Formats: sequence, C-alpha cells, structure tokens
Amino acid sequence: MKKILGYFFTVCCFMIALQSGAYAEFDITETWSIDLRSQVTVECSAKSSVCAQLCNNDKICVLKNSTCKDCISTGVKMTYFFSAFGKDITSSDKQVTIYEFIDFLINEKFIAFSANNVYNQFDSVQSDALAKRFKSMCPNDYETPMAFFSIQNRELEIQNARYVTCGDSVYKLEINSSLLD
Amino acid sequence: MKALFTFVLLFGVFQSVYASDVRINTDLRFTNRAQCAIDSKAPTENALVLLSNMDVGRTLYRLAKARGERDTAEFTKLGLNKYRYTVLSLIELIHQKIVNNKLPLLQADLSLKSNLAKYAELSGRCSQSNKCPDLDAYLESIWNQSNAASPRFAGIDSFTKENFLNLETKKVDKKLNCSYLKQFTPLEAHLFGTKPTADVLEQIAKATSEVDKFYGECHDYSAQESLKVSTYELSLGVSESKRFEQMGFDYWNTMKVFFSWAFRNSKEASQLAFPFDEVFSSILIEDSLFMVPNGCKSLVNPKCDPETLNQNSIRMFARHDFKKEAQKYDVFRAVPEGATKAIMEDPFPEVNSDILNFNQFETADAWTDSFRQNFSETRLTMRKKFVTSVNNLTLISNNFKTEGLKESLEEYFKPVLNGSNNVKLKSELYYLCAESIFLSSEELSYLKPKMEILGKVNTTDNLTDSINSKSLNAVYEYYQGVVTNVNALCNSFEQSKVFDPEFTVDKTGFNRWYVDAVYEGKVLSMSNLLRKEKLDAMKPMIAYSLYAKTKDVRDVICIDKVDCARTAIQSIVDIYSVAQYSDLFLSIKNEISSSNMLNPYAERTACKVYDPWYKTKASLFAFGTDIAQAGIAAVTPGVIYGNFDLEPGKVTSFNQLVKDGKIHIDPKYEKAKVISSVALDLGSLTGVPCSISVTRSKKMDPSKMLGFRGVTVRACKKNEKNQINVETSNELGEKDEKFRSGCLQCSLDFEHVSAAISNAIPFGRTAFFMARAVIRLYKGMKDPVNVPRSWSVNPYLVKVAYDSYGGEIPNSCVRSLIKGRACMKNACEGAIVKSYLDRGILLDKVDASESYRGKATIKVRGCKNTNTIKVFEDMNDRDTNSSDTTCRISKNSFDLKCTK
Repeated sequence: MKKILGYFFTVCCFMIALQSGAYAEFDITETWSIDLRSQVTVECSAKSSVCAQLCNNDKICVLKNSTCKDCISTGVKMTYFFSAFGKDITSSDKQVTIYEFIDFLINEKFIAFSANNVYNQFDSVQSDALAKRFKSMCPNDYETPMAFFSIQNRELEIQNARYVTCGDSVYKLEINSSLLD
Repeated sequence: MKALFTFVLLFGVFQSVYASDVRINTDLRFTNRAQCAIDSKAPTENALVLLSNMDVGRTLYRLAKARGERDTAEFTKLGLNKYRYTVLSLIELIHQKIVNNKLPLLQADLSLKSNLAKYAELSGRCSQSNKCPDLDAYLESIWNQSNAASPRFAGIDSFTKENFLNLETKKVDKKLNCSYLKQFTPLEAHLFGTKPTADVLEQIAKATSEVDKFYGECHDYSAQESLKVSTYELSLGVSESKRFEQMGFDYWNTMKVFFSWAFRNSKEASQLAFPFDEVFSSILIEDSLFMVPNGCKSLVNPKCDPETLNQNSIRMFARHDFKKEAQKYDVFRAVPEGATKAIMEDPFPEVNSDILNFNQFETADAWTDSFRQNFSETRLTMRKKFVTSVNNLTLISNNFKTEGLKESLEEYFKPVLNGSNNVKLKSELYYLCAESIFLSSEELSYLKPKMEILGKVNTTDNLTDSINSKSLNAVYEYYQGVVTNVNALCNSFEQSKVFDPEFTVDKTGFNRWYVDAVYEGKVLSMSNLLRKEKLDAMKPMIAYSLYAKTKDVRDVICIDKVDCARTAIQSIVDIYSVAQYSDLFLSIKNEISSSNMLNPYAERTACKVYDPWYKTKASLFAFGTDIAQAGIAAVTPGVIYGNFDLEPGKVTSFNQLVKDGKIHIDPKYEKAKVISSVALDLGSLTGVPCSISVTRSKKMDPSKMLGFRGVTVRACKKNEKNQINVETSNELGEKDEKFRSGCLQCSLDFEHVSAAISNAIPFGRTAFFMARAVIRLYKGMKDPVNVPRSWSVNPYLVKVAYDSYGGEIPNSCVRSLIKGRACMKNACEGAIVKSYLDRGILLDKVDASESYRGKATIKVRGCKNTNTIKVFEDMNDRDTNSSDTTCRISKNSFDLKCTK
C-alpha cells in the first residue's frame, strides 16, 4: 500500500514539476539533530521544486538517515566498504532523473555516506584519502558527493548501492568494479 | 545537552553495584598447574571485563566535528562515559533477570540433550552467521516476557523450571559486584603464583588495607582516566552455590547471547544510552567487549575444537613484548600452521605466574590498552588481507579466464622455451612454476591438504557475502583451474634444459609466502619491487579505473597473465592464512568473546595434551588410553574423538563409554553403524569392563597412525591398590606391575594402518591424541607440580590477622589462612571477627584485651566510630589456632551504631 501511495505521489510530483518547469538546484548534506539522530538535509534554491516535491516545503527538507547494523566497526563488511569506495563502488556514467531519486528518498529506507561520515574508522580525521576516492565517484568531479544505499527494514543491513549525488546531478551507484579499459 | 548527560550519569552512581567490602571478602583461589587444568572445566564466578572504547571513540569524535561542537574532547568524553554506563548497566540488568529467574538459561553445550528444541535448532542454524532474524525474534520474545509481571515462556520454547538458575537463596548474594580495576596488585595474587607464603599473605594484607586505591566504583567515571579502554572486575557472589556449579556455563552463555542482542535491540539499552542510542546500536560490540575469567575457571566449557584453540591464542596479544616478538608468532607467518602449533610446541607452559605480563604495566588500563592495540591492529591487518585477497581473486576470475591459459602462457614464454637465454623471462617462468607446483604438488607440499580443506570450508562464506565476491568455494575452484594450467605448462618442457646449470634463480623474486614456506623467511622477498618495475613499462591487465588518475600500484589487481596467475596463487595463500585463525579475526558470532586468557591448560586439557588426573597415578594407563583413542578414530571414521576422563584404575566398558557420551560420534555417520563397526573390532569385549592398554609395540612411531587388530584378555595378577611407577613407564610392556589396575583387563594390539584409512579421519583430530601421549611420557614426567592442589585465601581475614600480629603474618598462621580460615593472636578476637563476618559485617579494628571484663571494642569498616560490645568467655569454641580463651558475642551486639 505504502509503495502504491508513494508511486502515486511521485507521479503527482512529476506532473506538478512538469507544469511548473522543474528546476533541480539543491544541496544535500548529512546532519545530526540535537538528540543525535542522523539526518539527510536537502536545501533547495528559490527556483528549485525538489523540496516542495520531497516534503512540501519550498526551502528545506530533513529526512531520516538510517543507521546500520555493525557499521561502527572495523568488521569485514566495513573494511570492504571503506576500501571499495571509488574502486568497486562507483557511479555509472548515466545520470538519473531527479524524480527517480525523489521517489527513492520518499519510499525507501536508506543510509547516506559522505566522505567525512562517522563510520569511517580507517582514516584519521585529517586525512583526505577517502574524500579523494569519494570525489572519483562523480563523473562531474563534484567535491563532496554522497552515496546512498538501501537498508533492510528490520535488520538494518546495508542492501543495495543505489545513488550518488554529485551536486545537483544524481547518478546510479554500482558495486561493480570499474576497471581500466 | 551536558546537563542531560550529567543527570543520567549521576543516576548511574546511585545505582552503583560496587562494594569494596565484597571485593576484600571474596576468596582468592590459588591453584597449581594440575588444579588449574581441572578448574578449566568449572564455570567461573569472577570475570574481568575488558572494554575497548576506540571504535565508538572515533565515531564520537567525528560526530562532534560534524555537529560543530565547541569542545570536541568534552563531547567525546561524555559519549564514552555514556557508553561505559550502558554496557555495565546492561550486564547488571541481564544478571538480575537471570538470578531472579526472570530470564531462562540458554544451554551452552548443544551437543548435550536439551529440552529447548527451538533454541537448539536456531542456535545450530545461526552459529555461522550474524544474520539470523529468527534467532533475534526468539530472543526478543523471551526478553519481552522477562519484562512481564507474569512471564509466560512456555509458548516460546519448552521451558521448564529446570531452565532457570534457581540459586539457593540463602547462600548467595544476588547482587552483581562490579569494580573498576585500577591496578593489578597482590589482591590478584592468584594470577601471579601458586601456594601463598607468609610474604605473599603480608602483601595481600597491605593491599587489603588500601583496597580503595586499587579498585573504584564501576560507575565512577571520573576515576576512569583512560579514554581508550576500561578494565572491570565482576564477581557474581555465588561461590558456594552448587546450582551455579551445575548451570554456570549456561549462565554465561545466556549473558553473552542476550547482551549482544539487547545492546542492539532492547528498549532498555536505548534508554540507558540515550541520546547516543542510535549511535551505539550501530557498534559491532563483539569487537570491543571481552569477558575473561579471572583465574583458571572458564566462561565456556573448553572443547578441543578450532574455535576454542583459535580464541585462546588471543593470549599472545597481551604480552608486553608482543610488537618486538611479533614475527615469531605463527599468526604472522605467510603460511601459518594454526593454533594447534602452540599446543604441540609448548605443551606445558607456565600458568599462574603472570603469564599475561600484568606486572609490566603501571595500571590495569595500560595493560588492557596494550592488549587492545596489539589485537585490534592485527585483526584489522588480517581483515584487510582477507578482503583484498577475496576481491582480487573475484576480479581476476571475472576477467581472466583459465580456458586456454596454458597455451597463452606458452606463447608468453616462447622465447625461453625455445632456448633463448633471457634471464628475466626465465626467472619469471621459474617463479611461476615453483610457486604453483609447490602449492599443488603432493610430493613437495604439505600445503595441499590444507588448501583442499579451504575449498570445503563454508564458514567464511557469510563474510564473502558482504564483499562483492564469489563464494570461497568458487574462488578456490578458479584457483585450481589456474594451477592446473600452470602445472601443465611447467610439466610440458624439459626443465633441466630450460633452467640449465648456468641459470641461477634470484630468490628475492619469489612472493613472500613462498620465501616463508621454503626458505623459512631467511630470504627477503622483493617481488613487489619487481611488480612496480614491470608496471612502469606497461599498462596493467586488470586495474581499477582509478589507476588512470592515481598511478598507484594499490589500484592494480594484476599486470599481465603471469602476474595474474601468481596473484591468484598468492591470494589463495592469503585467504588460507587468515582462515587458519578465522575464529579470532573473522568471527561473526553475535555473542561476546570469552577466551580462557589466563589458563593455557583449558585447551590443553580439552585436547588431552595435558591430563591433570593421570600424572602420578596412571601415566601409563593414560598413555594406553590415548593410543586407544587414536586407534579407534583411525579404523572408525565415524568416531570423532574419545573424551576419556576416566579415573586411574577405574574399569569400564566401551559400551559404557559410548552411553556416557565419552566417545563422540561424528554427526554425519549413523551412530548405530559406528558402534557396530567398533563392536566388530572389539568383539564381545565391548560390554566387558576393561581398561585399555598397549601390549605389543614397544617402540611406536607417534607420527604414524595406529589401528588395533586384536584383543586379548588377561586376568589381574594382583588386586591391590593401583600403583604405577611413572619413572619407568616410557618403555612399554616391560614390567607387569603396571597391569594391576583392574579385575579384568582387555589389551589391544596396535599396528600401523595405511594412509588410505588415515585419510578418512577428519583432519587433525587423531593427531592430538598421539601428540598428547608422547609429549606426556617424554616431558610430563619431569614436572613436579602435577598433583592437583588449591588454596583459598580471604583477603579480609589475612588483613585482620596481619593487624592482630602487629603488622606481620607469622609462619604459624599460613596454614590456616591458606585454607580460608582466620588466624588471630587473641582467640576471642578471632571469634568476634568470625561472628561478624558470618553476618557480612567487616571490621577495621577489634580489641578484646578486656574480654575478661565481658567487653570488647570494635570498629566497623566504613564507620568513623567504635562500638563497645558484650562478650562471654567460652572454653568450648576453639576455632583458631590460638590457645587463648575464646568468647561468644551477645545477640544485641549486632545492633551497631555507625557514623559515616
């Protein structure tokens, strides 16, 4: 039911967007609330309709960023993740529509990672090694991309790599080693 | 924000569970080696809790930065204290639920009969996975019921009254006593030596006088200065409980399993951790929390299995010289032999002699931090090695097919195969062939069977799930494809012609694993340097796209065909080396780690390398039993191993051993078939009382597998007390005196069995028994400390004795004090101390010099004032070794005033 409603909402958004001439200028960041809940904050420019579509607010949307099981660790899973960003985990060159991304944000439980995220146990705070590899995930060389993964609802396991935001542009995120041609 | 945290933590202080009275009134159990070995089979009542704050600390620091906190250090510290508070409070909560029979016990040993069918099924199914929603749901149902006013567990599993701890209420203190350990002192003397002397007792007395210097309240975080770790002591206060002796292992299993679940999932943990609850629930808590028995007893009944051996090898990380000596440890070898190596090489290590080097560190936290750092750094190295190797093999197998590999390699090496003297190319061919053939050739390599086991292992496949990779089995099959092709190439040309006498291989070009395995590490591998040189000259065959920008060799998987084949071989060796210690580095179990760090005899006893009972009474008998076990296992693949803990001279039958569960049957065989096949060998003697011994082979080769071929029966020559001369027993079959142990004795004749039969044995199992038998006979004999001995010392009684004798412990007191009894100069004072102690009241001072007037003066521990009490002289009660007149205390003398 939730999915059907979500889909319906997305279609409505799409229609509204078409009428209003959607303008996808937004800034997306990882933030923490006063009571230490992880969030994804989307700030929209005056011309952008993304926030309106996402949360019915013209300027800003605050979305729940999930936690994940055993993510604060140097376990095998996280060791792999933090060695794989920019190597095994990369974006496809193909940009996705903002509507697809909005649909994902509305309808799925997700976790977003940025280069300076709290789960990084592998580099010192001052190190920019991860930031460099994050940057390499963006075909447009955007400085501070954010990688989105879907999360299994109950067990909070990281499931699929979904999107990477490179500024206003959103790309498919893939766990599919990008090899030298 | 800070006010909120402070409030919650103050609340924690009021909930404090620590009492230094309990600490000094808890007996220290001293044991010698044999007793320590025996103790390993008993559940501990005292544990050390080692808590690492590093993972959560890094996260809190990053969180403070991300939130723009003005004082990141202060924010981190507040979060860490909240973390400590949550962990300790949750342990206490689970303890309370268990001792108050609100939480049923989860059976630790599921090989035993259990009425908890669902738990047994779920636990078995989930033992190799950390993703087990069904087990989580099961634990959640139990937890929810434990919070209900009238819990109803019956609907969850077949719980009965027997599944609860049901402690004897009068004898036990239900409170969990928790103290923060500041320093290792004489109050931990049981970890530093065996039989206490007067000097040791004096040290204990002095430390007891200053107990507050060495221990703190668990929830007093201001005293816990290290941000990296904290070290706590838990005492369950159940030392006199028979029920705990029986159910203690289940208690600890329940504690560990529920802690892991509740820390992540319970609303109580969320409340305790708020507002850090969301952060804390993401911690892999099993990486950060260790429970270690504080002495020789165990949290988990030690078994002779890879998990126990692996986990107990964690001791090396506690050594103060670990970093300096690291290269000596098997775990760092390119091709490690596994945790059994330590047992075989050092069957009789020191115990209770500061084996973990506590004494090298100024504070307990400094020791814990050193241990944490050594362990977590090694663990991370191993995990990175595992991830990289699995990933490399996956990428190579996806992009480099083995079909036609031989032909394409032939093409590559064509010049040297056709007689060219290109040394570089020749060397490359030599390296490739040597590494491949060594690893796969039956004649050359001891690694082959190990590698084949790897192909069958599926325990780590859960880990490869989280990596973008194929299963271990799939990558192993790929590796086999590679070596088949490479070996075909290497066998296709005449090596003496290609590698002519003029050709000398530069050994530094081999990969590190090969150098380690073949040249025992005496040659330095420069293969990485050669790879870099090669890379300068060409575009890599398989590399991440990132390489185009970085030109970093770490972004390269392999450079060309030869490098890809060698990298595949290197990767399989790396995976194998980590898998050898997988329970230590890759464990995915959702339960707290609890190795027997302080008792190296736990696994030695479980594996029958050391047997505390047999030493002086029945070494020969035990030797016979060991060989018999090896023999049974050899001819009967279904038998895993015999757990023969017979008392010396006891007669029993094979049938009885099976019935009592002393012989374990491999689950994949039908029990009935195995028993009948053994019955065929033993004939009708399976039901005859019998002590097994060796009759024929005087000189047996312990490295060869043995089987038995016949049974003879002899009657006892003498029916007298079993007495075996251990000094002469290493020459088997020489003296008849050693066959006095039963009324009827069956003797088994042994012979070497073929390798074909021995291959049917599950890997490594019979080797234990052979080693045990031989090691014990050749080395164990020399040891003088093999008669089990234990001593019990109550620090409080030592302290009052010390005070009573004006600041010394006379030799005449040692005997009483090491039996846990009082020893006072004045017998009446001894009686007063004992009377108050029986009621849990400890005294700082006692003066009965005026007992003849019917009064004595006492000062209760923790009170500022003194009390004068009435006493009655009593000639009958002589509990101390003093010849003085003793006394009784009037009943109303227990109503004492106390000014704090």
